[in-house]
Amino acid sequence: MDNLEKYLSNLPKPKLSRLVDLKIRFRIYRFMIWKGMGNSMSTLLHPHSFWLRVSYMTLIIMIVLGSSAVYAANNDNITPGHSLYPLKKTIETVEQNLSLTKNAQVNTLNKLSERRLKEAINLASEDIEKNDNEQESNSNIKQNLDELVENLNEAVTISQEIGDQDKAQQVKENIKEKNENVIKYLEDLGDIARQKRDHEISDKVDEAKQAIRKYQKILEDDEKSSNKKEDSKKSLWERRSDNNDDNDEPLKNSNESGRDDFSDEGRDEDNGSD
Amino acid sequence: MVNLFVYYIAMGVGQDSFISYYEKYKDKIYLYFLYRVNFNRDTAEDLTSEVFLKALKSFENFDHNRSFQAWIYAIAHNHLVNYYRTAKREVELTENIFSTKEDIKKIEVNYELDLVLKEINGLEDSDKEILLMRFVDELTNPEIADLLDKEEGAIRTKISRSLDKLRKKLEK
Repeated sequence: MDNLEKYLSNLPKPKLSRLVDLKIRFRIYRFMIWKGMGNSMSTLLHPHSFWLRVSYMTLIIMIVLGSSAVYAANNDNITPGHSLYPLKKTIETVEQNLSLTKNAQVNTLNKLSERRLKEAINLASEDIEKNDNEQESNSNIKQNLDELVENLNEAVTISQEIGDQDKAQQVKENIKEKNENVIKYLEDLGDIARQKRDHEISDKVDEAKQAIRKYQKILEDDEKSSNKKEDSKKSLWERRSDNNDDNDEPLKNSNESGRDDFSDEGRDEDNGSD
Repeated sequence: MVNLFVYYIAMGVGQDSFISYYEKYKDKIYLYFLYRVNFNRDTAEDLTSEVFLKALKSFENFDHNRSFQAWIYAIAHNHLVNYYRTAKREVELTENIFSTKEDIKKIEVNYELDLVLKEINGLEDSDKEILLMRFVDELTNPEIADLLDKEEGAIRTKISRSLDKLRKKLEK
């Protein structure tokens, strides 16, 4: 053994087999992927930046408020006295303010009227089951019925302000249809009130029914008067076409008078829309 | 998402990435274990895999100003000690490394090398360890000094004395 160091340096040095190398690499990459994802999740779940935390809190508050708002706005069981009711009313106010056209305003009012009525029915039904806080519940039912009548009155008023006759007619038809539903619901509520022998609610229901019938009558009268206008228009056109058949001179006169009539009518419509 | 991207870059791309270190040291660590677990390839492979995963788990805390080699050998040494302790397989390094003819065949050593290996096993633990580090693991004196936390001069002397001991044994 003259050169011991050389012998030692030549000791066998086997390498890691390719298969094992691949196995280790696979384990390393797998760990890296999970670890990397874990880090990202950890940063998301445990934010270190102040603004990130603020953003998270804001987002969480928005999600909670948003989901509560959606839940409250679409749930008839959220009645006066419920903790989410103020939120529901706030959303309704926003909804009303966002209704820009008269048509949309009427639709919103109709929807709200129906909602108030359903709430009133729920309140009355709950009261039968629980039979507590009767006074407060009755007061809420009355308040809801007042609001219902108020909304319907407003809807009718707005419908009368719509200049376009066709649109106005369509809106009025909608109101009439809704009112029929409302009357059905009111009858249900009346039944509940009678079951409870609650005369105050029964009276209030009757009042609301009367108010709705009054609005129905107003709408029907409007319809009749608009029909009359249509008829007069038609007859005017018929007269004008007859004159056209006779000679040219009367045609000129009739055209002039026709124009006057139309311009009067146009003024009427303008006044109406104003 | 940005964090994830940065993490993957740090781990998988570039000179200082974990994958590049793995590429450089995988065979050395395997060899380190192979010579210390009685040339049991399966055990050496498992231990190599475990050491790199252990290193990967704490790679984020690794100070890149330090030597990766010293760090990975330190992990390997601790892992080996744990392996003996937990598995209660007290494989004495003083035992014959090539206990059977099959073991010798596995690494295809010639007669003279076989003789050298047998005599190395006959040395004291500290002499054998330092010779393996120097001639099998091919660590430099400063690296061994760093690993064993000793002065470089002391390592040089120790290697020289261990070689003398081995030479005397071989001459007998």
